[in-house]
Amino acid sequence: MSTAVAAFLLAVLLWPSVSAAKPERIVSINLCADQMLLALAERHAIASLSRLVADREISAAAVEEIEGIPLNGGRAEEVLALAPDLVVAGRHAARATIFVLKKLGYRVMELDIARSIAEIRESIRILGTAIGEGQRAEKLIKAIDARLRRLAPAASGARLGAVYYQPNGLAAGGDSLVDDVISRAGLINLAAGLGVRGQGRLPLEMLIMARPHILIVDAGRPQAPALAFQVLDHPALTALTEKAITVAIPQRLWICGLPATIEATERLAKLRQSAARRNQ
Amino acid sequence: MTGGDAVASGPAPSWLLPLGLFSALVPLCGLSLLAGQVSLDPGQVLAGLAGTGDEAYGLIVWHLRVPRTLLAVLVGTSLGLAGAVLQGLLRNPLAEPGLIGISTTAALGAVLVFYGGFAAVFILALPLGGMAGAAVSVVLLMGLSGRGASTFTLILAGVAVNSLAGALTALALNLSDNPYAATEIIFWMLGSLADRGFDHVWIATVFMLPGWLLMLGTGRAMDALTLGEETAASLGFNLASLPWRSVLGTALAVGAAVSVSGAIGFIGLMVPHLLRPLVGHQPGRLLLASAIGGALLLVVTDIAVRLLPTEVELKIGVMTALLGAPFFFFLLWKMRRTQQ
Repeated sequence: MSTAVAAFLLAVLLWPSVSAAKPERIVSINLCADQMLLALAERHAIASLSRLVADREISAAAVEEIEGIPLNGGRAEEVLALAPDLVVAGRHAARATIFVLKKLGYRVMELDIARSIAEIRESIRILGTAIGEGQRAEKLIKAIDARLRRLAPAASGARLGAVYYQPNGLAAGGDSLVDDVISRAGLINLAAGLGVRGQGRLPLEMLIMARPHILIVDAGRPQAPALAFQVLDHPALTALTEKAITVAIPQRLWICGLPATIEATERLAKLRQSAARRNQ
Repeated sequence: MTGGDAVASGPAPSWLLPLGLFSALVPLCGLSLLAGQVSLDPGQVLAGLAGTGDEAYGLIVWHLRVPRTLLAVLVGTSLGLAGAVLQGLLRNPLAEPGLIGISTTAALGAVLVFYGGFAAVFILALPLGGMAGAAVSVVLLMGLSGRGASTFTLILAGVAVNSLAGALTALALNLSDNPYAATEIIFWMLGSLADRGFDHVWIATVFMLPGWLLMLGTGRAMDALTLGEETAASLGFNLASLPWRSVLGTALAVGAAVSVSGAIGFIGLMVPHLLRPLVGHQPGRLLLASAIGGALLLVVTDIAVRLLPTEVELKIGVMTALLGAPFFFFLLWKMRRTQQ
């Protein structure tokens, strides 16, 4: 007991010096943090990433990028065994794990969920500073800004209505990353106008009445069936998609706020341009 | 001896109650077409039905509200009728597809078929799975508690069947590779008619209709059974076939219903009880009335879940349980009093 207390006190005392040093064994237990680390950290400093990073549906990390990096299931025991000097987690996930790790004196960084492209830039800067890669972070932010500037002229002109419709009849509403991406692409997120906030349910009836020009859906779906997908195959939605332009965006581009999210913006902006031309 | 009172006052013609219930059901179905997240006035709904108005009205009315209303009628009919048949067959006032585990087991059958991927290959596999589950549970229950067994034996057998089927359903859903599957236990356990389509209407009807006919055909034998088995047999009723016709009919109707709408409880408990005094306590006459009454109650409940201002639409089983569970407590209390 007394050793535990001593260890805890030591950790508290050493805190400033520990956090100032460049971490050498970083463990991520969150999909979004995984990909941010891959973009910012030195390869040898990454001790482990979460298992989800290998799932191509939801992760934008390339296979060769993660080859050889041990993957973890995000449990406290696994993390301890990896002897990390920095654990990166998501802000709202795995609360119990984060609590235990902090209590044991580990340095845990909680990354915010980006709800806009501005917040992606912010996250890059915060994580970059924390792992001693500030310069690399600034470079990445500059590259993102350059891509966004190229989008700007495309986003002017007539605005078309779009809805991102997901399994279980969920839609991306206002105050969400997808909403920001849709707006920056020069489209109107109709779900936000219908009062959906964050990710919320948009009944099929309301989707039909909203008459979207562009219907955004996920690219690909799991092999195993689930009722959640039945709404996407509903005859009423099929009839709607005959009128609208349907576009499939891979979930990995915007399930986390990443540099890759800019690609989703670029794709939608391009689609908007061709749709606007057709409408003229 | 309320039964004696009803007989003494002279029974109303047997067609009067079903006709009355039916004439209430028709306008309620009209109301159901008006209920939804998008507010359409009656003119817009009629235009949608006729295909003369805005195209969006047609899509909403024909693809969403009409199949939903039809399913409420079909599922409600099946549950009400099955409740009346089970109560007559088991001579037990608490027999009901939900309480004694038939719906849960039907859900298990449908879950195995759906998440196993069979329903994607052969669409009728879904109701077949539900029916197989329902049939297994009825046979199991009859074996566990037998006909005329005490109410509490039946309820206890139902508790066992319910929890086993529920656990196996959770297991099957958690083993699925689809991340959404595990959360869908809510649909299977509490039921919903939201966003169903005509596909569901057809696959359910194909099996429900023969189920209804089988169950309605047991009416005269049920009436005879109230005179005692020997008297009924001496009157020429083939009582040996009665359990099997009832079991098969229940399995067809409840299995098909659960496979498209999940397990919706208490309809089969409440409706026969409420209507029994109105048919002079004759189990035969109760059947048709309970069928239409079940449809009526489910249509009303389904309108209510759409009108409630909840962020996510309430599962319909929540609503039926809110109505049905107090009713169940009341029945238990009444039974205790008569036993004392």
